[in-house]
Amino acid sequence: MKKQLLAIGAALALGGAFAQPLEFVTTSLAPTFNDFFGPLVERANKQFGASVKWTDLPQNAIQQRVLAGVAAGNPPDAVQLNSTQILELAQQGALLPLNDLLDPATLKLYQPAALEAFTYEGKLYGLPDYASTRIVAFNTDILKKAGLDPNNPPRTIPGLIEWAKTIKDKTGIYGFAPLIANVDFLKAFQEAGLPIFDEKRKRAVFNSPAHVAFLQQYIDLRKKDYFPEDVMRRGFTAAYELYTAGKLGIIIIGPQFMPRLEKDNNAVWKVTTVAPHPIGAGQVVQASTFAYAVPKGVRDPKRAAQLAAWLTNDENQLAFSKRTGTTFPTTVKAANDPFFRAGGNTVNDQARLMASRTMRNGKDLTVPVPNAAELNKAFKDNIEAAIFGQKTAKQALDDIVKVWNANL
Amino acid sequence: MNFFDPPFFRPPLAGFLTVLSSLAPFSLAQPLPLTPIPNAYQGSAPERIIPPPQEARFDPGTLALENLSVRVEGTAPELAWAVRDLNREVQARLGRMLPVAVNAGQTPAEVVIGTLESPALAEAAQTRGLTPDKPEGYALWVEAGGAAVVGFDALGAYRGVQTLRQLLTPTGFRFAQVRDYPALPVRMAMIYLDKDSARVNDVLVPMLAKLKFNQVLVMADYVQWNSSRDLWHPGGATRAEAQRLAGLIREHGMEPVPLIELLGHSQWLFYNAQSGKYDGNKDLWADPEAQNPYAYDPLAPRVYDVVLPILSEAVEVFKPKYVHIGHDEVAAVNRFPAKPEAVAAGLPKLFVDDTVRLYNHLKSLGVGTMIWHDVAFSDAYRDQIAPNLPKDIVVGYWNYSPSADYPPLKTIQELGFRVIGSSFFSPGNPQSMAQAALRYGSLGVLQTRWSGYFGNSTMFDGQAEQAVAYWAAGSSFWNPAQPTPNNLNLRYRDAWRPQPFTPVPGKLVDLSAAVTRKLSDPDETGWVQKGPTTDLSQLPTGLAQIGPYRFYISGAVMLKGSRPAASDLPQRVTLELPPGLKAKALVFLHTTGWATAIKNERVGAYTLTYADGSKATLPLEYGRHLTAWTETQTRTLVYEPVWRGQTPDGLEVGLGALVWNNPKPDAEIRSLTLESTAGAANPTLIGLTLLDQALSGAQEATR
Repeated sequence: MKKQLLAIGAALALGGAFAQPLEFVTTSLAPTFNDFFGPLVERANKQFGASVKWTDLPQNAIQQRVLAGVAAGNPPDAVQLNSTQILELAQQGALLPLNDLLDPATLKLYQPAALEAFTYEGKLYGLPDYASTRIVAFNTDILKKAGLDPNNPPRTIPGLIEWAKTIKDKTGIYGFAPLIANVDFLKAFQEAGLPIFDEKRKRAVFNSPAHVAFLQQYIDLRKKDYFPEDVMRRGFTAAYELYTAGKLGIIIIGPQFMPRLEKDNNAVWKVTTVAPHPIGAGQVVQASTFAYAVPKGVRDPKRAAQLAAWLTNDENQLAFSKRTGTTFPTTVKAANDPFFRAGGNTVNDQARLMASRTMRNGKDLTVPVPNAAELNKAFKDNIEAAIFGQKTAKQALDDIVKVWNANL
Repeated sequence: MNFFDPPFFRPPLAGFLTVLSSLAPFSLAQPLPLTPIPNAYQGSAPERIIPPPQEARFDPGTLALENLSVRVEGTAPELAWAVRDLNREVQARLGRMLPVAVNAGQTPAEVVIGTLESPALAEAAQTRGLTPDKPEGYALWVEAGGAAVVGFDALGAYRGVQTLRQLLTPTGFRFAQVRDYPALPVRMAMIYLDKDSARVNDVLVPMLAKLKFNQVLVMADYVQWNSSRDLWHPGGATRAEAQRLAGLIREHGMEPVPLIELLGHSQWLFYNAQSGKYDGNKDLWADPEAQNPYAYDPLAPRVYDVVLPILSEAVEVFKPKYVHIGHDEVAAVNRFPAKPEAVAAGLPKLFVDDTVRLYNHLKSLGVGTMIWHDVAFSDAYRDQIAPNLPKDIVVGYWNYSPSADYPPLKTIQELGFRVIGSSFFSPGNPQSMAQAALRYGSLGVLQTRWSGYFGNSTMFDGQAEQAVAYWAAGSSFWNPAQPTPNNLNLRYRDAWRPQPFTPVPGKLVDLSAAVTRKLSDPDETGWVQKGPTTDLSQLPTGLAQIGPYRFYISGAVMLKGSRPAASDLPQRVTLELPPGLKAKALVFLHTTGWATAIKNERVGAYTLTYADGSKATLPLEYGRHLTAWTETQTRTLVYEPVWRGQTPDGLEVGLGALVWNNPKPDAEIRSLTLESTAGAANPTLIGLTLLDQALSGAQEATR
């Protein structure tokens, strides 16, 4: 009996590495995309000759899942995260660098800009998966009530703000809900062509008069109740909730939300039109990119990296983005598929087309800094203090810059 | 001249020496000089009373404890609780108790505790112009002839004694006249109840009483109710512990309010005791396709077979005036509504029907209902939900950012509801919320804590900042107009480890000969080489009192780190100490030049080498034993944040003190070696003091 057990053990040790189960985790994709991931898991089982488990977690739970898994010695093999999360987890020592786990030919399959978003201090911590940029959606019923022409939407952020003010003044309904919660102002600065660092990247410089004036306009808008206070607390979630309820005129939104809007409130969806996101002086627009990272402590790092590479290969990325209809692949080949330049009749098709136009200027604008979690918190706390009248715009930006410069 | 005189800091020689030192361990041949001192440690009374009284006058002098007793006039239990709390304070600070007198005149002087029901006390208060006239209000005086606390009611007397406790000094009670009352009628603090919470709540509940809170919101999701055995989580509290906690809260002059999260945040309702996973009660899931259940489906009739008995038990155990049923963020995680029939009904109707059903059940038990505001009063749903809810539901409005105003407090009140403004730990948030609540005439204020289920231990190591905020809230909820005091980290720490007032002698170590970095940085070669605007030049030097400790400060023994500005520093420095030296404890005034993002990362160690060749090592973990000088939010009680200051350009900075009780207090010490792992956070010693007595609660861990 004992010999038999030993023989089984030896078999597992030799060929058994490939019999170990694998697990990958995605961010907020279930149950909407269960029909995509079910067949994907079946193919993964065959590809890896093992049982592959798919887990989906809400965005706010996923970092904790990784940290808890690393601490307990049982992390998932590949985890889908955004660039901020990957940066923070890498700095916390919870992720493995992928450079040495994959051959250079594999890395060449991805768009260089996408890889750059997950590279920190020369090491790659995530294999890019899908990207999503922002478009602008308009509730045409509300626009008409405000006397605005839905066929002639503004092409600049200041133009959008003027429309938002008109909507609020004429209808009492909020015109827009700017995405400025957490560290989104760092992205807004870049979109507006305002620098974050000096040329040597040694010092933060976002307390110049131009930055102060940029922040001040949002302070003034909030003071006059041109956007709901809730967006500072709940960000896009609050904006989407309002838009879905027919109580927001304009929303800056990822195109992937259009099919969801179609189900959540079909009446609002039917009166929605879309436009590309305005391009500011920075000539860039935030494009959120998700990537698969490999946590520290996985049983077989090379195999986990292979799983991440397989999940993000040309075929799977193309299939996923075709399924969503509104996201974009980050591999060189899949991103050039004509599907992403085709329009269509529905607002969802139009959203994809507008997004593909915006994507030409799309870039992940996450700012990589040491001790990112603390520095980002200092940024968020001070911006909120300014928006909510606790500090002046100048004082808030000065205070952030002091913290950043002492830590850079 | 030796190498460590000022010319050492001239760049060329400094560079040469630091290259040498980075190649070999750094050791000093000569023992460091020591200065004996009788009060190397000296605990003292807090500078400010928290919460600050509305009216107070302090005079020079103290009422000595010799020949002093305490006496109660009246039979209310609050008065006996007051005597208990007062004597706990005297015992912790001075190691003695006040005798409890039954009759007047048993001792030459006495502390009398009573209410306006006592004609003698009422007259004495009136004579002094201190008559309390509001519920929970009190008069207090400490004079040469004795002291008294006179409550408007019994709870007022209890609150007043919490002030008297803070007037205790090493020589007796400080002379004072106080007339005080709360600005807001409801002052609530939130705590968690779980299997391991007793040791935390046994400290927090008396502390909340000291801060004059009068209600405690108890997160009670995972209590092992008799009616829900299928849901019992191994980390959940027993029903008996829930009952004990409710009693503890009451015996500290506060009312318990259970919080049972329903509709949203209802994961606990799906815990499966059989599988140990959240896969139970699947027929109740709002989103049947969710991987992680979060909300229940109000259209599933069995929901109420499960939930209503739990609410009944909570009422039975806590005997509360109302129960908080959550109802926040219901659509934040999965689809809500999700099932076709629920989608047809719509979120507002589902929300209203569920809330009213639970409200009616609680009302039948004689208990009120409390909910969070964010769904019922959101811009998206307010018009459809709020008009359909009973107006006697109490609404908890939460906003965790400090703000000049919180207009929704007014909006919700104008819709006919009573509101409690809820804050979190961001500096300024409790005060701005209390000020707005006062301005709008709200029912009260709530200090929330979100350390997570089963996260109680983080209140002393990991997330202590959330509990420090109880002090800010205690201050502002009672008296919103007064500024929030500083050094609240130390006040919170004191609740766990009360500082005795007895001095401890010791020896100050002069580190001058070992200094590797100046505290100032006029030319980007000092401190962290960021120039004169970003240095520690405002730290006192020479013989300095830092918190309760004294140090001799002359510069920093900064060790090697991965940042370029710290890469040429020695990775290890051995401090030779004079022959024959013994110490019961060591106090390190220290920091790191930069932060690390890795929680509890080992960044270095202190190693004592004894004359017999044996060693003892204290590993240094970032965030637990020390932090960067730029990181002023303390998340642990292991080290003490004893100094707070600013850089020349106004950045808030700080230093911590770590006390290490010597594991071999009777052995002769030969040397102390400081070591860095040369990572992002490089240990930096600024002061070292040796104590002739171990301190309770000091760092004991060695290996």
